[in-house]
Amino acid sequence: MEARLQEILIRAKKDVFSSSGDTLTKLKGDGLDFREIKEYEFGDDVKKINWKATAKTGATKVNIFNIDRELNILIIFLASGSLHFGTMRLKQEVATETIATLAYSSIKNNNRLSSLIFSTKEEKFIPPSKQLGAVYQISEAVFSEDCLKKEVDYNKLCEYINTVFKERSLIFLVGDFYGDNIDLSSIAYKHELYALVVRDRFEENPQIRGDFEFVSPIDFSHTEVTMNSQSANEYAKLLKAQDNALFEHFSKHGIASGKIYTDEDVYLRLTQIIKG
Amino acid sequence: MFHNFTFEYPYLLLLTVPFLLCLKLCKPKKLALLFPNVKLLKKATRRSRLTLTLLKFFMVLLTIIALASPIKQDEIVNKEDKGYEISLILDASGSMQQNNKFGIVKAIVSQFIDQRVHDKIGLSIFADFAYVAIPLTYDKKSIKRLLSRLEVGIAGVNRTALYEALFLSSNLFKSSNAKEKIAILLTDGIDNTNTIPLDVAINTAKKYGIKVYTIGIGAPGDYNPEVLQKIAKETGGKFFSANSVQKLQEVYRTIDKLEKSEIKSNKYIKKSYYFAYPLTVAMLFLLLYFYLLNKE
Repeated sequence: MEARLQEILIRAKKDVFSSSGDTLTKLKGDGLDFREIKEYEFGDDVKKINWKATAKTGATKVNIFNIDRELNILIIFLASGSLHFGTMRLKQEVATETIATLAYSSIKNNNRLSSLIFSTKEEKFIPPSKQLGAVYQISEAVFSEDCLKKEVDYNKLCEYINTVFKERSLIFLVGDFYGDNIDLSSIAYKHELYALVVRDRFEENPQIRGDFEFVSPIDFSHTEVTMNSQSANEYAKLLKAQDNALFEHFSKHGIASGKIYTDEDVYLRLTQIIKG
Repeated sequence: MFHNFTFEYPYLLLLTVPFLLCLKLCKPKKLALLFPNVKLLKKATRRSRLTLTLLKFFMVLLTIIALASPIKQDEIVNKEDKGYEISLILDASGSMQQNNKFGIVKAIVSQFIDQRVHDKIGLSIFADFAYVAIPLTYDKKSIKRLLSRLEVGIAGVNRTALYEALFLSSNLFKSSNAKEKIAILLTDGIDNTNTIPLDVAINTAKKYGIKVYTIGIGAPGDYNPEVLQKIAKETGGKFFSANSVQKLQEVYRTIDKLEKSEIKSNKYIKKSYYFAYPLTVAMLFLLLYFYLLNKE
């Protein structure tokens, strides 16, 4: 297990440190440290128009940011039992690699990194740090977190973030985002949000046949199911509808999002998602 | 349609209890699989799981019903070769018309027929000559219908072929294998045809083992009590005389009582078995169940 973690860390480190110049924070553009709102002038970046303020006052307004590039980065691992699954690699392992990559990137760019493991409550919080040791700390915590029998409460998570993190931060949410009505709107405007959905291809389209007893990793309840093409397709259809609603919610509230499958290259997918 | 329905082994229906218990408690060990979104999977397969469960349930239920053997118990029918056989011999000569004797006799005989539910009955008439109106049969309806159509004079009016009638109706029993053979001879006259001698008639009756009950109606002078007595005595029957309606009724009632058939041992219950129907449906459900289970 330790060796597996080392392997993940080395790969993440190699990916992050061997890519020159192209850093995650740079991708965000001119920082996030907000200073003030001012009247729009010719030549200003149209991307910086603050539409809310524009709508309120009737005159076009733009945001001004500090050039200061030191960011608060918060990586949140959403510890749900359903992460204990995977056909190629465990989803939890892929999540660990994702988090390690993000952590290395933020350390490389000299940003303040804090991390959190959250289920229905705070499982572990690692306070802000700029040290490389923080990467190992968070990766180890995520890798060895016992997810089984845990579930994520998104409302409590929003509440927690709103009370604990007063400063505007760049927040990465890593999990599999299963649930009927996930609502992140209460934190989406104050912080810069990234939702990274870790999934396995099999769980999205379970093409198996026969009688099975499916065990829920959240409450260990047993369900007898006879799988045939009909039930598999029905499941895939329902899940797709659920996911569509989820991603619609993300884009509506300006949350950048993307799926990372267990058979994909994490660094590559991450770059794609963050570049948009 | 569903009355008379019952189960041959109703206690087998109790098998549903262990089945329901087993459905809940002893589940077969299946390949267990940790799956992330069981909640959604449950939702996706709710209908097919319900269908399968219902199919399984009804399949077993119908099999148990078939096993308990639903039957329809029909009315009691006696075995044909063991009941009584009764030959009614009626005098239809001209003298029977007096005081509507024949009509009264018809009514009383009709009642008698009604009482002999389990017996085969035949009917013979005599006057100038004798003839068999209806051979031995269970068909009471036909006998009664025929009886109602009989009139005095149907076989002539002048004479009384008493011995011939006894002889003829004795021959009805020729091919019979019934245990009890009875003839009830009713007359109000004296034989005056001489076609068959009395001895021959009695011997024929004796040969077939027929018990002859003789009834003389009217005043004692009208009929020959000695002859009737003789016939009854020699064949093991009994002689009665009746000079009123009540008396005649009494006579038939007495005969009815004397020859009360112990038909009980000969009764049997007609059972129609219906287990094939639930069993067929159960088999169809079974096929459907396996089809759905193994469907691609």
